[in-house]
Amino acid sequence: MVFNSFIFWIFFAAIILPYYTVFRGKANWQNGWLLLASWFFYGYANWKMIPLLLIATGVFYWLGIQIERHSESEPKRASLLSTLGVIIGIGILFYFKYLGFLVEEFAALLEKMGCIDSKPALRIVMPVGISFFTFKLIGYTIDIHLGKIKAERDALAFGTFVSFFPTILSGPIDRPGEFLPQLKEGRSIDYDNLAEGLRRFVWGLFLKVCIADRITSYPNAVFGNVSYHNTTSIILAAVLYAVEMYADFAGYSEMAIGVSRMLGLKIRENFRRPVFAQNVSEYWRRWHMSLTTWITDYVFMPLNIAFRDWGKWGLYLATSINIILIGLWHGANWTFLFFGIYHSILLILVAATEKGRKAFEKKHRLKGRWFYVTPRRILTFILVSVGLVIFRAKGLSDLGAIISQCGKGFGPVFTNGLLEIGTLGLLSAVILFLKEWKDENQWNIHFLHSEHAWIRILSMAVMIAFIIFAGQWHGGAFIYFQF
Amino acid sequence: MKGLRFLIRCLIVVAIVVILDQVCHFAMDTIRKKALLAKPDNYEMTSYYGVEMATEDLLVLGPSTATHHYIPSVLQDSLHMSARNVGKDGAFLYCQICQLSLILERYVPKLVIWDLSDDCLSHNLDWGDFLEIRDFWPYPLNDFSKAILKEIGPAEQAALHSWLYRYNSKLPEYLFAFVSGRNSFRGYVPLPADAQYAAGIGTAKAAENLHPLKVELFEKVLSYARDKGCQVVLVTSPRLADDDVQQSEQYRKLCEITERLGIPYFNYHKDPRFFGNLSLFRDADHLNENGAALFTHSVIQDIRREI
Repeated sequence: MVFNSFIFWIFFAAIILPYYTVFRGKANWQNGWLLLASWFFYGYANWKMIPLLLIATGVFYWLGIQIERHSESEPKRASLLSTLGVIIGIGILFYFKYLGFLVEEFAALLEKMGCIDSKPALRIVMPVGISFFTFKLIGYTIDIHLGKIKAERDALAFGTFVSFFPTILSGPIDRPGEFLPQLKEGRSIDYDNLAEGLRRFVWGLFLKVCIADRITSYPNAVFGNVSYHNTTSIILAAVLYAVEMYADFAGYSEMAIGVSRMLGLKIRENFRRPVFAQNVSEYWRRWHMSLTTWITDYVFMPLNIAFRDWGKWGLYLATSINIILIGLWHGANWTFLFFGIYHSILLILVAATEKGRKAFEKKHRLKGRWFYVTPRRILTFILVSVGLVIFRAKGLSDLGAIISQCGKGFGPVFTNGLLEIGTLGLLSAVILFLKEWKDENQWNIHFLHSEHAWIRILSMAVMIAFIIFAGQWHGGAFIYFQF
Repeated sequence: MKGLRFLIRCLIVVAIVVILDQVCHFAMDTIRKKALLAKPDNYEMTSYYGVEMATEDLLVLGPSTATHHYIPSVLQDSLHMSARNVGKDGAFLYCQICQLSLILERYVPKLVIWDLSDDCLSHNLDWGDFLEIRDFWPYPLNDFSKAILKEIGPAEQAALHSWLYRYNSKLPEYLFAFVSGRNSFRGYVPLPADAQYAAGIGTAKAAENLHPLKVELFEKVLSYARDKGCQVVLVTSPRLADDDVQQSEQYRKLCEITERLGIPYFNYHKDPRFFGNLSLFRDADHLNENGAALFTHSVIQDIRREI
């Protein structure tokens, strides 16, 4: 059940009506209702994975209480339990995401060495959204252990935090300290929240159906048959894939934020105009922020402290581990490892040149000047697009084919009617770019958020009409569902 | 008070969308008609041409095998009837049924050559077929399109109440028709004979199960054409790939229907003049321009002999 489907809208209407009528203002009832809705939503994707979600919720609920109970009297035991929580979380991830890949790779190695005749197939079905809810759970136990939050004793609230349907499949990854307190209060209808939620949802829908699902046909056509394409088409496909990826994932996040807001709950922002990043380090502060801040808080900071005696080399090492983990978080594939290594090289370069760059900027008063900022933004976008080509490749052989094909030279760009199909997508991408540009420069021009009601109403109506008219309503699932 | 204000604003948004919906219908209908008048031979507009403008005695209907295999000028010279190819890439059985029914509602051609695959009645539903059928959503729905729509699902049925949705994705197609150089020869698009792709050559097993709605609508549209006085000839184009479709249930059903309704059916699937002859094919399913010329002449001979 995806946000851009008719069935989801019916589902959501069925959820929100009793939520604000029968259960209005009653926190427990509302949480229980949300929990049931979330399990239904998750089970709709694959009901066989419901037991895993229930067991994980139950185990971490118990662990949280135990960690808190022993934190003062037996800190070692609390620490052990916290470590157990991390191990269980990583264990779940490892079993469902990485074990099959590692066994296959190991078997392939043995096969090559002649130790076995044929590769055994290990088929483990990966539950959708596993990377998201396990990270929530790991973060929960660590936060209790560090004393940042209290263990949640309200099982309904805790279950809702873990399974909350707008975020369970693709994030944003909520923090318990921010989300759980919101569940303590009963929620009554707030029209400002409702209107803001609707605006965010419609904007997300626009990103998904008018941009991502429209332009996806081009990268799919080129990367799907890369041996038939030249460098020009591959470059265009890489650029369009970067746009598609952003529109797809940011679209999902916007819709998740919108749905949550309509339910009276605020969740984390996930993107802040990454296309305007001036270097790769800034890009990662603007892209998938709920993951990068999670990794920064729970992995990078402890590592940076552990490596502080090593000076700048310690920082580089912590950065590399951090970004490689982000790459591997996406799944078990050599390409994700290379994606992480590629970005770690870029981040180290940014960190190593930071001092000199800042001095240069100061000396020549370049900060904020368009002729300095624009090429940097373009260069960052190009570097990120190259990284996404690595990210998108199905495997090393696929990546090798793309690289070797790029070496064959430029030529006429492949169109074959695809540009006609993608025209509405490109037009929508221009609208997105102008909106982001306006927001980045903080220009006081607003449409959906105008101070004048008539502009807001008109913008909303035009937006809805445009989405119906130009959206690709038979597109695929969200890219991040696979992670 | 705040709730009432919110509700009123929502209603105003809906009202503006409804107005835009009607404006879209008027504007898009006008653009399509103008594009058809300006570029009737545009490759993207063939299906609209069939429904809105065609007056020819002979029409060729079908998917890409129709578009690339039948040369209207040759048909016209040999059969002494004005001829036009209204086939469209990716438009399979449901599209063809929809298109033929809409054509017959406006005028009755003397002869329709309907190119179809001999496994067209199979249960395999091609989502591409549902996408191509969107060409016909701007037209008034008839019994055939309503039945297909029911199969697609209630969401699509509900969405078709909106003209904005009916014209979804169509604007670039209409606009590009004005400027695009992708013209056809009265609907025929030759495929060059300079290269061949052997991809797809091999054996493919056919799906065995029949699709009841396809069978029902296929029979119904053939009867409808017969009742209107339109002679329909069914043809299966040659293919390079070998398969066992002709042993399948759907093929037996196809033969049974054509026999029962007295409709000529020429199957070139494994015709020795084409089968395995790489020089006549562009790919596994499509003849190149040399193959198309030979094939069109073969079809003409069969039509002359049978009708």
